[in-house]
Amino acid sequence: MTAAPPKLAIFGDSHYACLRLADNEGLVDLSGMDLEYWGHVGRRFRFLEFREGAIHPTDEVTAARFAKFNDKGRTFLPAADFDHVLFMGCRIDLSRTFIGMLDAVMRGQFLSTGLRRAMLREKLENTPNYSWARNMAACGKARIYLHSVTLFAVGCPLYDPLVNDDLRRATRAARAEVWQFIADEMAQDGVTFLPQPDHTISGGIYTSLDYITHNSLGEIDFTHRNSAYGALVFEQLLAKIRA
Amino acid sequence: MNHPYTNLPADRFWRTGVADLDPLKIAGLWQPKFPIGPEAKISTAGSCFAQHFSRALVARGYGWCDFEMSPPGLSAQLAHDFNYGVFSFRTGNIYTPKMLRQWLEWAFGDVDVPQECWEMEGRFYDPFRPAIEPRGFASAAEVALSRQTTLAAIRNAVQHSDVFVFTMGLTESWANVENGVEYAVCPGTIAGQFDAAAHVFVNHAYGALLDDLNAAMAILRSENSSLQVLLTVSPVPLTATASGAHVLTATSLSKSILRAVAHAACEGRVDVDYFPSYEIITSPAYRGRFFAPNLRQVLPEGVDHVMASFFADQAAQFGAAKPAPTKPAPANPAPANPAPAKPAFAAPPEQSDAEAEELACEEAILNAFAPSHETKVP
Repeated sequence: MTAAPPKLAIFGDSHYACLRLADNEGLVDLSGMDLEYWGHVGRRFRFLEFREGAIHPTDEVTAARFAKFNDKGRTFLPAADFDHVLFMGCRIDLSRTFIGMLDAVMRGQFLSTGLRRAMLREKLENTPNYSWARNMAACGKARIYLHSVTLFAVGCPLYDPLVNDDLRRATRAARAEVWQFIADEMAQDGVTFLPQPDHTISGGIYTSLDYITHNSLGEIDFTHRNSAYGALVFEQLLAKIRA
Repeated sequence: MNHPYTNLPADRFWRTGVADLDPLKIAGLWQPKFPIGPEAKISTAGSCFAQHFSRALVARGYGWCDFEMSPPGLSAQLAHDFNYGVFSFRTGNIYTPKMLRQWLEWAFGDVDVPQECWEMEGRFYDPFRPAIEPRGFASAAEVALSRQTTLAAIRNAVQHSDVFVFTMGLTESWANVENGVEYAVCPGTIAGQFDAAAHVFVNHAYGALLDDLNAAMAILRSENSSLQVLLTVSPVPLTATASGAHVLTATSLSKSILRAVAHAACEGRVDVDYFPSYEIITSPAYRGRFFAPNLRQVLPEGVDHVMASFFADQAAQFGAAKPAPTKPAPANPAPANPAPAKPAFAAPPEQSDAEAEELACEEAILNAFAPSHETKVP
């Protein structure tokens, strides 16, 4: 008798679309995995809450919208139904904290462990969606992974006020140091952090144009990622699951 | 009959200069030696009262400089908790001229930085700024690294400021018996353990205070020959005294000596001045109105009046300052050689809730979950 395949839920806001694209395009081997997607646009996340081990919509409209994009028509997401749950995006945007710490690393400004921890914890505490991941992990059954909102793509003017030469020169090692700190902190909450793959980063703090999408007008979408990016996240995730 | 008092102006007499006046109308307490305008790069250090000075300068668009800025993304609350933005560098309070001299000697390499570190319940504290991090540091190495960052900030502040404001607070201190190094506070109060054999109480006398202050100012001058120094004395009474005297008389002695030292340090010098914030708060003319009920903490209206006097006396002496910029001056006005100092760093934007964004998000999802892809739908 063969064991049941591991059950994996991918829970996300629009950032999870890249995973579905990778799946659709067959860029990743998902055989042996019982996979479900459960997500919707970020604004609908205001109408979600965590209770009794599950993420629940707080109104019927939201429940219907999430169900629409789930193969089984799920209106809520119980941690106990899965072996693994990936939080993809989920309006958990750590870019400000990441870049702040990276800036210090690149300039050689020493930040104590206590300060970095306080910075990150403050950010996480002010991100209610992160508490869902932590609460799901505390439920004990499912292993929880988190891939936060990616860095904006190269050319995004929203980074203009903050970018400086030090950040433009940010190295792989410097980024890895910061990602590792974030991962270590989340591990204390039982959450496995999946950092943005380093080769998708360009210009120090931007997502490379190799991983962007375009909107219906053909304009660059600085926020969302393509199937190639989704495949990379799957690779990270599956490596952790199969480890 | 004429005598030296015959033709003196009204402010030279207590009745016409003080007693007959609304205390808030008393003016001309300070005749500043040099102008301090909004364009000046000003650094502040000293006892706790000095932090009011920096806030007031920033509020008026003056160029108060923060040479050890908080990392981008740190909230105002955390920045405050970790003592960023209080003084121009993260030394915490520097109460005595000796402490200022120590920091400057460490910063400019004249004296080796002590390796002393206090450990308490697995956390590590810097004896020279034990409250700089709310729960101490993770290791002694972190204490040393963090201190090096602060020393670099001190170097920048001294070398790239136009005005250095130092507020003296205390004559009483605690020192290491062996090497004479002075601590920020008595060991064992905030952190560390008091050891009567290793720690000694020092109540600095006038001569020692003046020597230390002059030595500190000599370092400042040697590193920045155009730096002007503005001295003040904190009006905040002692929390406690170890002198054996009553805390009231100990406060009086301490402040009186510091006031005399400030006067002596200024005498005959065009580049060192004294601003009488101490008198504005503590003089009987103000009937204690600027103190909180604990008679120690200075109320915001007291700080406001001090700073209003500062700007008014500057204007009286040098004319009205140019209008301050509509936006506060940058916290760090890009010194010529900013080693650890950094440019202004705006908070990066995070995902917004704009309608346009929702449309883009829906587009991304619909594209991924379009019917042609819904092969898995049962």
